[in-house]
Amino acid sequence: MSNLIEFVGRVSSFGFRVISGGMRVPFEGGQILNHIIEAGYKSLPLVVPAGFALGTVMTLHTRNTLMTFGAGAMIPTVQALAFFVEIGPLVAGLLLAGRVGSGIGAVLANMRVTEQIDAIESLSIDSFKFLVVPRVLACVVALPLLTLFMDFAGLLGGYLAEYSSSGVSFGLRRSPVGEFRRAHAEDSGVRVHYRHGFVLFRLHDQHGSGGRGESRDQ
Amino acid sequence: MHFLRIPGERTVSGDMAPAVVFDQVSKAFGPNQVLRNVSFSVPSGKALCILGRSGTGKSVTLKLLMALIKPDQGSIWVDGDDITRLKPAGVSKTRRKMGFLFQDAALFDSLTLYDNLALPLRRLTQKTTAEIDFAVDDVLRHVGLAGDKHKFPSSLSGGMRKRAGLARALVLEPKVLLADEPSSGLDRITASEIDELLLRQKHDKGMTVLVVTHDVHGARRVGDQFVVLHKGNLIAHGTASEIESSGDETARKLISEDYPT
Repeated sequence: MSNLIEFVGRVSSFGFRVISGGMRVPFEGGQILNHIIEAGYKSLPLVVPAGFALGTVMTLHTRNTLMTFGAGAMIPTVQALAFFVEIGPLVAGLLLAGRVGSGIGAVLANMRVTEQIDAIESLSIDSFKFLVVPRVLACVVALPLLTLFMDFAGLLGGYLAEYSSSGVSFGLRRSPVGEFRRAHAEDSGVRVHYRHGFVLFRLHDQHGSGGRGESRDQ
Repeated sequence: MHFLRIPGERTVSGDMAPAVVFDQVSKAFGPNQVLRNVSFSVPSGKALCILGRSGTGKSVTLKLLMALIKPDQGSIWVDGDDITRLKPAGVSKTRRKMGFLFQDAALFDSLTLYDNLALPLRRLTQKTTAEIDFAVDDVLRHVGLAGDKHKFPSSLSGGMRKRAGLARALVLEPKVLLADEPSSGLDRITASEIDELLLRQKHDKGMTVLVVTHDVHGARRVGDQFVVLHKGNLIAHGTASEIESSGDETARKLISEDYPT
């Protein structure tokens, strides 16, 4: 229990430091943009095919079941519901954690071991603000955008799978998806993505400058 | 002033006020006691070499001085400020009086040599881009790397990296220069060139220099005073001749140029 309280305290403290660091000058705009490109743009070749494949497979598997019960018209709605609320944020978060999060952890741990973080501190530069804050903010911005790419890639994959089975037109399939999106705009899960962006960074930073990992220099 | 009266240490006259004072400093990492009640001072504009066997707390001494780690007890004075009792803003201000040459230079891998040096100038000073260019070029010329400013650290040799690390330590024009093993991994000629650069900081700019080293030849060339650490204790402090004539055999061996290495 005390470990849980300690963990919550550390994450809260981390969050406050990120927020306060992000509001102090210099704002590290260039660094944040670089990290958005690194975390977001360079993850597209991984996220888009993954979303496309998931959408295709999901449609192929759910189609038969729904058709059995005469609910074939629900296929686009089910897929939109699954992608926008759950699968998109979850899988995009996992992929980003695997590709970017581990990379961030490795970079910061390497900087710790090679005394680069000490060097930053010795130059009177706040290493947390310089190294950690831009990466957190980049993850918070990049993950929702990546999730949208994954969602639409999944819907496209689902449509193509459906089209290959039943020859349904794009307009006919698009309509229920649009209705779902309008009806569930409030709880679409995009808000959840911002939290995922923060959490995935926090977990991987444990081994870098912010945590108590083994690579922390003594 | 308090830092002029260190228990068990020589007193320092007012006209040679110490730039750095360690006063009864102790530090442990878990059960490993690295430093025990270590006290010494370095007069302004002088060079002190810290000698000792591996793992005796030499590098820790420099990191304590830079406030990268905190002592368990004792005070550390830099240019009249007790860095152990300062708030973060004060620590940051005091750090700007010091430059640190790390053992492996600790250059930022992702930045060119120019950007490594320009980074602190951009963030900590009000200099214009032209002034930063001038300052970087000047300090690179000073260490003999004028033509290499667009190279990345990975493309520099060991000696060049040390020079680049020294250039970064000097770019903010510190009063105190700390060098952790400046000649480690270098041939004798390159090591001698690094020693020469350290000497120039002391003679030309009046900088106070603290050097942690195993290279007795270089230490005797650069140092005015020496501190010998052994198993976390300060076992000798003084000039080379004073330590050579001291009763401690370990200290005599560590300062001796004739001892086989």
